[in-house]
Formats: sequence, C-alpha cells, structure tokens
Amino acid sequence: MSKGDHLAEFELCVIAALAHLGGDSYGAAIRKNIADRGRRLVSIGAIYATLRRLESKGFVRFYIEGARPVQGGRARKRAVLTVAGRAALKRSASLFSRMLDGLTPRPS
Amino acid sequence: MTRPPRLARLLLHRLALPDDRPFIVDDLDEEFMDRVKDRGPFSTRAWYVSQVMLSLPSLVRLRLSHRDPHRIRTPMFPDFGSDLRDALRRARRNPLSAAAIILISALGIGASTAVYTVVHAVLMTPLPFAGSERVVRIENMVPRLANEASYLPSDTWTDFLAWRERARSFEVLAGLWEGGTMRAFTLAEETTSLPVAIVTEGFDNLLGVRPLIGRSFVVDEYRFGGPHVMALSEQMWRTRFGADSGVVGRTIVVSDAPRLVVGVFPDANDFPGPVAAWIPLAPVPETSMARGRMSFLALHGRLRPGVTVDQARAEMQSLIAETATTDAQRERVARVTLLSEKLTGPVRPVLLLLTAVVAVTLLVAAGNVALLLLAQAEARSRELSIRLSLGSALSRLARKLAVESVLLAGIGGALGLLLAKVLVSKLVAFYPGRLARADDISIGPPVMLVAAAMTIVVGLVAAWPLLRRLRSADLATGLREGTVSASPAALRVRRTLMIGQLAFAVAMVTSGGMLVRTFVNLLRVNPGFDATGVGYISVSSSVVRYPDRAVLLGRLQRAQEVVRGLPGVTEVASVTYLPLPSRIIGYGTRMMRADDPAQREYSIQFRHMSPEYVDVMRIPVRQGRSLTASDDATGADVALINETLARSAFPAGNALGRAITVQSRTYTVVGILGDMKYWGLAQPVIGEVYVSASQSSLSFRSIVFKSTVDPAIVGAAARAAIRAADETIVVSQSGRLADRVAAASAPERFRALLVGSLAILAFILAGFGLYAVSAHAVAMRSREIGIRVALGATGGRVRRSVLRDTFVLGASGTAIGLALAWAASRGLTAFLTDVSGFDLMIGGTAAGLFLVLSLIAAALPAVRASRVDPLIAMRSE
Repeated sequence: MSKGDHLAEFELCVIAALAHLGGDSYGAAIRKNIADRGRRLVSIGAIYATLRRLESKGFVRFYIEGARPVQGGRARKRAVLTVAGRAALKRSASLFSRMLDGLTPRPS
Repeated sequence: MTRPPRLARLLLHRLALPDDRPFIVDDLDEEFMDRVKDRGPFSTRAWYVSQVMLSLPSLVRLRLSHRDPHRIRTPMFPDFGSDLRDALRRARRNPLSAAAIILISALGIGASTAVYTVVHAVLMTPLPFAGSERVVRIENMVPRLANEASYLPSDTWTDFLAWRERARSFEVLAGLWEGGTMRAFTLAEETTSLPVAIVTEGFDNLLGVRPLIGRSFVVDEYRFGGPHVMALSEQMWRTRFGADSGVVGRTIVVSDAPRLVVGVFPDANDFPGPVAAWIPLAPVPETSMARGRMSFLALHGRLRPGVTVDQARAEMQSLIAETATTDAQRERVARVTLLSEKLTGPVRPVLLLLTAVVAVTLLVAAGNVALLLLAQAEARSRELSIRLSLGSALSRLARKLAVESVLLAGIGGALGLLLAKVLVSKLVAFYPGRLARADDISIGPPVMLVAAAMTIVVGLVAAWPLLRRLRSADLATGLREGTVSASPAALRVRRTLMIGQLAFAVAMVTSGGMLVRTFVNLLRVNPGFDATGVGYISVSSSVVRYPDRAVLLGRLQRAQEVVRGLPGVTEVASVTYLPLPSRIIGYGTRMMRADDPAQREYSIQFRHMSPEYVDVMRIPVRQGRSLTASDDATGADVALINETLARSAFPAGNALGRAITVQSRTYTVVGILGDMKYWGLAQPVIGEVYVSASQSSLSFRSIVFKSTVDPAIVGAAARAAIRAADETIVVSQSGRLADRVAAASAPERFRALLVGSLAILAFILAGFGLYAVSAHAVAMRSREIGIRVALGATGGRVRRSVLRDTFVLGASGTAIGLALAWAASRGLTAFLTDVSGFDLMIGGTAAGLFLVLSLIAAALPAVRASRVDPLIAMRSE
C-alpha cells in the first residue's frame, strides 16, 4: 500500500461526510456534517485545506456550480467523490474495523 | 440585519487560496445566517470569529505548500512603489501639512519610545545572575509608632543565625550589612572613603558570584579572629589597579587595618550596588552587633525550587513565633519580597504613571494627525471621486491612503527615535536618585521593534477615519458637489475625533496640575529646621587606629574646631545622622520605656549630637530643656525625644523625667524637640531620640555650621583645612543643607515637570485641533453662510454661530475629560501630597482653560466667516 493511498483521520472524516452527503457537496455542508456527526469543533479552513489535499491524491475533484435563481442562490464550489476516493474510503473503513475488531472501547 | 464581523471576514478572505476565496467566505456566511436565527447575533459573531481563528493554521499551511512555481506572485502590496512615490510627491506639494503630521508623530512616538525604553530596562529585564528570579528579600518588621503604614524592617545578627539554622524554604540564606558601609581605603598614601559590601557567609553563593581572578571567601574568614580578607570589585580592580592580576595576595589598608586581597568579583551594580570591595562580616563577640542589638542586616534568600514567596513568608512568620522571647518580638511581621520587585519597587508606580501619560499623549497626537489627514483628503475628495468613478477599487484607494499616512508617521517615527535617544539620557540623568537599573538603559532591538509598531499604529489609527469615510461616503455626490465632507457622517467622525482628543488633553492637564500642586505643596512643607545658610561636612576617624574612645572623639572634636575657625562661620555643631539623606542608611533601632512591663518596642532613629545642634538647625524645644555642655561623658545619661515619639510612647503627656532604654542603656528624658522631617518631606515623621555626642562611640559624624558666606564654599575650604590639620580624618561629603531639602522634593519635581510638559504639549495640540476643525467647518459652510448673509444675517450673528459651534465642541470634550480625570485621580493618589483625590479647583481651572482655548481657536475662523461675501461664496460652487 503506497503512501498516497493512506487516509489520515481527518481526511477519512471528510471523505465519509462527503459520502453521507451523496458524494457531491460543498464546504459548509461538509463542515456541518462532521461537526454534528463527529461532535467536534471543525473549522471551515480545515475543510478546504483537506479537500485540496484529497484533490491532489485524486480522491475528489471540484466543479463550480453557477448561481441558482432563488433567494440566496450563489455560486458554490462543490466537491465530488471520485472512484478512487470511494475505494480509499472502503479500504480505510475495513482497515479500521479489522483493527478495532474485538476491542470494546469504552465510550468516554 | 446582523452581519459577520468585518475584520474576521477580511482575514479569512485574505488568507484563503485565491481560487477558494469567494467560496469559503460565502460558505461561512451562509452558516452564519442560518445560526443567527437560532442563537442570536452575539454568540453567532463569536462563533464566526472562532471559526476564522481556527481556520488560520490550516489555511496558512495550505498557502505555504501551495506555491505554484508558474504562477506570477501578486505581492501583498501591489503597486507599493508607485503608492510610495505618489505619497512623497503629495508631501512635497503640501509641505506645511506634511511637516505638521511628521512633527506631531515625532513628538508622540519620541516621547513614548523614551518612556518605553526606561520601562523595558527597569521592569522587564531580569537581574543578571542565575536564579535571580528566586532571590527574595526577607524582612522582619517591627510596628513603628503603632502606625501600620510605616513598618520598618529590622533584622539582626542573632535573627540571621536563628533563621539560617531553621528556615527550610531557602537554598541559601545570607545577609548584607546596611549600616555604615563606607570604608577608608589607604591607596598610594592617600585615604579615600569608598562604599563596600559587607556580607555574611553564603552571599556570594546567593548571587552566583564567580571570582574573575583569585577565590571567594572561606568559612574561616567569616569568624571573628579569622584572617582579615577582602575581594575587590571589577571596577575598582580596573580603575585603581590597572587590572593587574598580581593584586591577589597583596595587602590593602582598609579603615587602618590591613586586609589581604583574595580575589576580584565581577561588578554587581544592580545589586548590591556599585561597591569598591567585598568584605566578610565577622562580628566581634559581645558587641551590640553580635548580641543582636543592631538591626542593620538585610537578609536575602534563594527559594528552594517549588517554594512560593507566600510559603516562605508563612514559614518566616512561624519562625518568629518560635524564636521570640518577648511579646514585642512576637508582634513582628515577616515580609518576603522578590528582590527584583524590591529593587524596582519605588520606581514601578512612577514608570506606570509615565506609561499611562505617554499613551495618552500618543493618542492625542494620533488624533491630531488623523484630523490633518482628513483635511488633506477632503481637499482631494474630487480626485478620489474621479478615481472611484473611473473604476478604481475601493481597496486600492484605501491602500494608497494607508501608505501615505504610514509613510508620514514613519518619517515622524524615525525622527521620534532620535528624539527618544536624547530623552532617554535626560530621563536617566534627571531621575532623582539612582535609577535601579540605569546601566541597562539603551535603545536596543526590542525597543526599536516597539517603536516601529507604534509608528504603524499611529499611521493606521490616523488613516482609519479616512478609510471609514471612503467606505461610507457616497463619493459620487462628491463629484457633483466637489466635496464629500458635507455628509453628516464625515462631520460626526471629525467631531468625535476632536472630542476624544480634547477629553484626553483635559485629563492630562488636570492630572498634571495635581502633580504640580503636589510639588508646590512640598515646597511649603516645614522640614522642622531652618536650612538657611547652613552647610555640612561629614567626617570619620578610625576605631582601629584609635581604640581609645576619648582619643577618637578628641580627633573628631578637633575637626569640628577647625571648621569653627574658618572665616564666615558663626556657629558649629555636630550630629551622627543628617536629615533627608539621599539614600536610606540604617533602619534605626528600638526604644523601650524602662518602666513598661510589656517591654513594648518603639522603632526609632537614634542620634548623637553636640548641644549646639538644636541652635544651628533652629529646632524648637517644645518642653523641658535642650542638651548643655555639662551633659557630657561624665554627666548623667539624658536624652531628648521628638514630639511624635513623646505622643506615642507617653500618650499621657508626661514624658519629661521618664526613663527610656535604647541599646541597653537607660536615659532620662529631659526635653522634647519639635518634629523634623527625616526620610523625606512627604514621609511621616518618625520617632527620634537624641543623646550627647560625647557619649557616642561612633567613629563618624556630620559637622553642621552656619555661615555668612555660601556654605558650599565653606565646605570646600573645611575639607582642605581638616585634611591639613589631621590627615587621618576622612571627609566623605560636604554641601549646603538647603540642597538636601531641594533634593528631597526632586521626585515630585521630576513627575510634575514631565507630566506638566506633556500636558502642555497636549494642550497645544488640542488648540491646533480645535482651530483646524473650526476653520474647516467655516470653509465647508461658506455657501450656507453666504446665503445667510444674503438673507440679512449680521457679521456678529455669523461670528457668534461659529464660536458657539466650537464652544459646544470644547465643552463636550471638557466634560468627558473631567470625568476621565476624576477616574485617573484614583490612580494618582499615590503621588499626591495634601491634594485631595480630585482637586476641584484644578479641575475647574483646567476646564476654564480649555473653554477659553476653544473660543480663541475659533476666533480667527469666526472673523473669516463674518467676512464671507455672499456673491463669491455662491459663485464658487
């Protein structure tokens, strides 16, 4: 397994959140998803920085969505999970479940 | 509608990668809008700021890792060069206003840099020896005259031995002798009186002394009967011995006893001070020193790691209870203070006061610069409008203005730094007494950094209202009307600036006034003696050379007769300690009433004097009699006490004829003298006991004389005459007593002068500001005034309206300023004598001055307004 395939914890969070959001979403929604689900403080800057990193690994790609003609409709930069990204998520998830199998971590 | 915090938003925008910029900001804004509905504006704004702050590390890291080598880098300040050139060109075209801005910022920055330099050196730089942050001064205080505010420290040799054995809080406990630290050094056939550090065992360890050459002292040398040794200070070694390493092993005669030089210690000018030599303290058994009757030992300790100052204090207090033998001793209070605080203690409040005053001056100066820049920008509003309408970005113009004001402030700052250099040397030289860390004071890199920061702050503070105006004002109307300043928002900015500046200036003038008043009050304080025409000369002889007390006293007596024989001298007397010393020497001793079963101790100053002392100094005898010639060594033991001691030790008023015990000897009180200021003019009077000089065994005294010619000249003549008559007498100092009185009010003079001159600066600046605002208002209103005049308004009416406007401005500033001054007076009380917390008269006078100032400042613009020709005024539009 090359280093490029490896997912850091926060990268895993972002990819998982993106997957939860249907594999196609934007910064604020991803941030909120991790903040709610992970119950942790997440900054918007960290989301953008991590998405950039995931892009360079080929796990996501960006496209600009034009403003929609509704109230508050604006241009958004959306991230899409690539096939490689989905594979990486799967790999990391199974790695984690294998590693944690048999352990009963006490929820703190 | 609540909007996200602007500054945080700007920061996020600035830091994000250019591709992400609009999206990341919009994303956060979107969440902000969602949240604000549920959680309210306050917590949402806080959330927004925290989001931006938390984003900083990742964004910065991203930017650093995301440098595209092919991308053309846009610098932080594009077009900086052209902006700078533009700013310079504009300054050249408008030299008067540029000069004013530069001058005002130079004054503001210069004054603040100077004071910051001193504050930095004195308060922020640690003492230059290892472990100095754990070194404490230990004081064992005796309540003095039942007045809690005036405890005196009092440690004795026996205290030292007891504490050293028992105290567990300290790695080292050592003492420095503070009574009589001048020693006569016989060097090359000449005897000079020089300061020495007399120290107990462990003191060198406490300070981490590493001898430059030779060694430190060994245990044997701290014992009576052990070898007589000493160590030279580095300075003494270099100046007197040409840094000759052969000095170790040589013998030098100190106070007529030969001492072997064992080493050279590095200079310790901060602490214990600039001394010529170090001598181990080895008390002679059975003397009052060895029996613990003399409280001149300044105890110091180095705390064990992990022990706090409070813990050490608690231990000392419990040790006092354990070792006390009388009730009076049990009443003592332990005090443990960090040495660094002890050294800078008396200076700290003054420096804090100076810092506050200078910060206010800086604010007033920045406000003034802002007003000037604003006026400049208004003159350019047409140009700015054109630039904007031609598509120049707002941020581009803002940058231009910021560069301009920072440039001018920067030139001002550079000049200010030069000014600061001069001011620092003046401050150090002018500060009364030795500034504890004076040697460390110079303008170094940290100070430069702060000065640079202050420059940018002044520049940006000054540019801020302009930038705000650019944002808020409808510049398109500026194009039409040729001016943007007609907008009410712009006027508000000006008036707010002016009122703020006035308020600070009023507060400064009021506070300065109170300090000046304090100084004047001190000049009126009656010191309890008359210094007119009185001079003094301090002499000492040697106990070693003349072990027989009678011979010693005879020698000193002869010196006194020499002075009496000088031309112009009418009266002569002597005393062991003169009032108003320039530094604290000796902490006094204790007195007990002989008939007091409780053995209550009163901390007193004990002096030996010749009977004529009371006459020469014109000290009033309140009750009983003064000393006479018959109260000599053969006569009865009699004493005089001062009124304060009589009141506190004998509240029934029956002091005369009672017996008191001082240093194990009992005296009968035969007279009560008027109170005299001893430590300082603003200090409370302390208890004093006077006995006859002929009963003294002290080897030093000050000869005081009254003369018909300048006492300073007599003093110089006396020095030569005494040396000619008896070369074994060492003369240490001479001068006018009146100079000592003047020096005693020097700190107050220093503060009054400094704050007073800054207050005058603020007053003048405020005057210019008022003039500028008023003149500007008239210029802006010229059309309106023209119409009024055309409609029949008289010149007087127009004048009155201009005066009224400025007066209202002045009055509002003054009102706020008085409130500020009232608040500031609470912080000032420590520096005030006989001035009640907030002096209404001074406040009133300051208010009056500023109101008059506002009228004077408005006078010229008012006259100009009344001469407006309606035809010209309306045509100009």
